[in-house]
Amino acid sequence: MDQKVDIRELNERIQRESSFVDLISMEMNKVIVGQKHLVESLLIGLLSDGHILLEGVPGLAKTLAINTLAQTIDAKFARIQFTPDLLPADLLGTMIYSQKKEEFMVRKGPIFTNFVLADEINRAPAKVQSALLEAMQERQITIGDTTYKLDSLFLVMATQNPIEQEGTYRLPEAQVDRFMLKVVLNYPKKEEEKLIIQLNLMKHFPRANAVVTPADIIRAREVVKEVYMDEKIQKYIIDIVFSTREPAEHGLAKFKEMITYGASPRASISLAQASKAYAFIKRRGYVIPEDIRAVCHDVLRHRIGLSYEAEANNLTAEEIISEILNTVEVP
Amino acid sequence: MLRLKYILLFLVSLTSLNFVHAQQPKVSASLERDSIWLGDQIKMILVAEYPAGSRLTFPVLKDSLSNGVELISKSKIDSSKIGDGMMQMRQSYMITAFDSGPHPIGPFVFAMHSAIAKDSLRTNSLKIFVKVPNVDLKKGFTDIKKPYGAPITFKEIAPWILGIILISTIIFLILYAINRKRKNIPLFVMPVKPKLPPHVVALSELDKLKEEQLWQHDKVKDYYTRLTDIIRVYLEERYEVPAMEQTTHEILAEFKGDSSQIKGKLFTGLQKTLDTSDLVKFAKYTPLADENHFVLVQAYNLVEETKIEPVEVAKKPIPKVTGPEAEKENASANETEKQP
Repeated sequence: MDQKVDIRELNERIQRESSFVDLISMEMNKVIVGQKHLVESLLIGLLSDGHILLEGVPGLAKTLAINTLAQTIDAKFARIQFTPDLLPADLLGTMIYSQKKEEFMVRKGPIFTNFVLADEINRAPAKVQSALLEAMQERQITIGDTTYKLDSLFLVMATQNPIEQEGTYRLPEAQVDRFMLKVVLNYPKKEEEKLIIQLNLMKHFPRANAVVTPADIIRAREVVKEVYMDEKIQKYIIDIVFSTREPAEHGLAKFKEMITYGASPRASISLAQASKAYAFIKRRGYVIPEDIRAVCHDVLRHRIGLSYEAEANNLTAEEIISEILNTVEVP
Repeated sequence: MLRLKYILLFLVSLTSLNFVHAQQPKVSASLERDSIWLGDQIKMILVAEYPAGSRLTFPVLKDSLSNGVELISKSKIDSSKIGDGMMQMRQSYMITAFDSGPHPIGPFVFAMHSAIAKDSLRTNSLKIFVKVPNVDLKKGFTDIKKPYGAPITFKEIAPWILGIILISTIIFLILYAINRKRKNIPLFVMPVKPKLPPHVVALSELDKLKEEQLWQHDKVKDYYTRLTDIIRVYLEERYEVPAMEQTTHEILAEFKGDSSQIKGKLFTGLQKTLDTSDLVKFAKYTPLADENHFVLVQAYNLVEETKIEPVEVAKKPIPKVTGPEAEKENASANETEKQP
């Protein structure tokens, strides 16, 4: 399957189409201090049409980042706080009876927007989680007899708090797999935290300007799809994903008892799409192994099931992925 | 003519008589020998020969065959064809006697059932004489003798010897395995081929690549893939960096800095080679012929400039005697070495 691609022409198009990446980054940097990886991951999700699961302790600017991203794109944004008493209808919408018109009317839920921040997704029961994740997958919602398509620019960013597990409903593995990326946020550095304080002490907190329209993003997505991926890179992706499924066959016998299940084919697809988006952000019309390695942790960390033995040995998915990357031969 | 008839009649009658004789059932009893010591054991054999069509029943013997003779055991009945339509049945009995003197045994009666009639056949009688050892009663009572130890045969001790060898081997292997594991040595080590120095391997591979003329035959991608693999294997072996599992950026990061042995033009050459290779391998880049040549030259340079030559120890004569004469001898020897 040899694609006929003119890389030079593609590179030029990418240079033209990706100019907004810098603008978005610039606007976000006005509001968000540090968290470069978060901003990059949000852009990858945005450009490759994939949803993101954010994991981090409270106060790491998760909500602010998504809110700012929505502002820079001039798109609609909704934040939904997931609680144990939340119902699917609260999220998707429902039919209500209008006494004036004497008929049932559809009241659309907050999910009908461009950017959804599902805050603390693991606090809601399984039925609400399923409703959201189904909408994420199908990109359409059925209320009563009518099916409503969601906007083309539809991105869900769900957050999870890793320190509080009491009263939470752990996301099932099959549901987690629907998130393209799982981004783990860490505390800012000392210098960054100093800047955060200074920014918050200012009289007027800076606000990001809209620098790009949803149409630009949709056009950019088409270019991202055209980013060239060589067969060698595809084989590299497959080798990495298969190493999570059959570690012993890939020189990682020590992980045989540590992994209960490996990454799904959806992981391979996500790895390919995310690496294409990353190449686009780096202004390249082709994917190189560096792109795969850059997105590998975010794509795979929620798709590897760890055994009790791994947990007993304090082995994390991060360490397994790093070891896989250090073992699989780069093309 | 009449005479011939008589002769023929005589021959026919003679043959039929022989046939009749051959068809006669016969039973017999025999002993291994006719005398035994008191309490000794002896084998008695009963044999019956009878026509194949009829059925013969062996006598059922009691534990006591006669006054003083006892039956110990008996074998299974062994039957066989003996020709002329006759069968033979044979059974052996182990008997003993605890009374001295002569003892008559038998005769034994066999029952025979044929299609025509039922008949009984009697064996011959047997006689056994039981001898008593001469005991000097004046000496009084003596202790019972202990059982004699039978000589041990190889067949008896062979399983023990094999078992000991097997257990010793297992114990040795377990100790061997534990010892190897403790020393962190694999259990079975294949003889390792002497490893060639990395630069020798790399230069030979580069020569092969040059000879194959891949890019000249429109196999540019294969050419660059092979070239980068040769460089990466060389770097991995020479500098012990996992270059095969690293990206271009990571490999270059390993050798960045002034302390690195790959610096200046050598580093730039490596960077240019790897970057061009990435473009060819992953971005469908078609390099010029000069570039193809350039990267190969850079690879040769890299290997030649960074290789480690095996150090040869110079052999110098060791002066045994010290003193003015010995110094003179050493000086003359050094001068001889310097001469071409």
